[in-house]
Amino acid sequence: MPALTAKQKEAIIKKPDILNEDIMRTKRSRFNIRGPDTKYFESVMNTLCDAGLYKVAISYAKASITDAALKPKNLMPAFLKTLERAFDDDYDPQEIYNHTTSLDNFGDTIDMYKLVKLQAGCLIELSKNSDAPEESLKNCENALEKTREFLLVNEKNPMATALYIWTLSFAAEEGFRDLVQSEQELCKENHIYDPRLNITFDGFLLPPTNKGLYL
Amino acid sequence: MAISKDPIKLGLEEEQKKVLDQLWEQPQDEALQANLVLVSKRLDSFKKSLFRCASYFHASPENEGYIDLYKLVLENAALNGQHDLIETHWKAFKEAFEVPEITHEELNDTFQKLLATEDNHPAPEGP
Repeated sequence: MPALTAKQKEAIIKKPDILNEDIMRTKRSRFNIRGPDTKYFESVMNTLCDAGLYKVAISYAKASITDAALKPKNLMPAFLKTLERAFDDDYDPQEIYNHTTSLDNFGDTIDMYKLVKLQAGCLIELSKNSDAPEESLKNCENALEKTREFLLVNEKNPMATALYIWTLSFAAEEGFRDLVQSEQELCKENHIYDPRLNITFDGFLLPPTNKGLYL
Repeated sequence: MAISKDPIKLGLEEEQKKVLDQLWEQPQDEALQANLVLVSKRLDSFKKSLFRCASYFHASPENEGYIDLYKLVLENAALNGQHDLIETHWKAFKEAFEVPEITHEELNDTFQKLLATEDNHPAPEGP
């Protein structure tokens, strides 16, 4: 393979600017101003994700969703898929999380399990990456709150339980003992019981109740 | 690792070949195996995005939205140093859709601009 040319090297050096340039470009692009139908919207979003252009994809989605001529609920599944792909590709979890909040009210068109899983995943990443212990704890608390609330309205759903266990396990691994204990109390109050959760609490040597371990 | 966050020093096809050569010498090396997976994934992703654009353009050649999308994806590939991939794509596009050249002026100009570099990347023949 030939060595990189001066222009190619220059292009790589300039790389950090590309995201801002992309945003400006998106605003001017004709794919952004053309009134999309759902199929068109999905095709653009899939292509931008494949290219790794998540910032452009999110910007395009936001512009389309706020377009009064379109039905946002039809665009939300593709938007959620884009945010999931961005998360899998190590895109900024804080930005992804901020965007997920606009999906909260679209439970009739999107898979809420996927949304809550993504939100909890973002919060856990933020908790892991935080330098300040209080911030790390706060993000973990928020992740637990999201998954617990989802479990409370989907008690029969084993996926909801598994998601809560996953989040609680993270809290236990991180050594947030008080948080885990307060979750146990909340589970007792709400009569949430699942034997699979014992492992998490056993790690902290919490006493079982005489009716078994309510978690 | 996100493609857009990690500038690539070599073309991905060359990078993939390099890793494969190294794996031939050290087939049990887990770090090399992981590298191969990563590079192959990124290469496939770039290829897929280019071919998606080609397909949409081929199906709706008058759709300006798809043309802008194609141009953006091509320029992003170039900014990531993937000139070789663009060149491969240019040839594959013509073969796949059985066309001698891409006759759309705007798109052709983009290809010409991205492929016409100082050395070793001669500009393709125009329509």
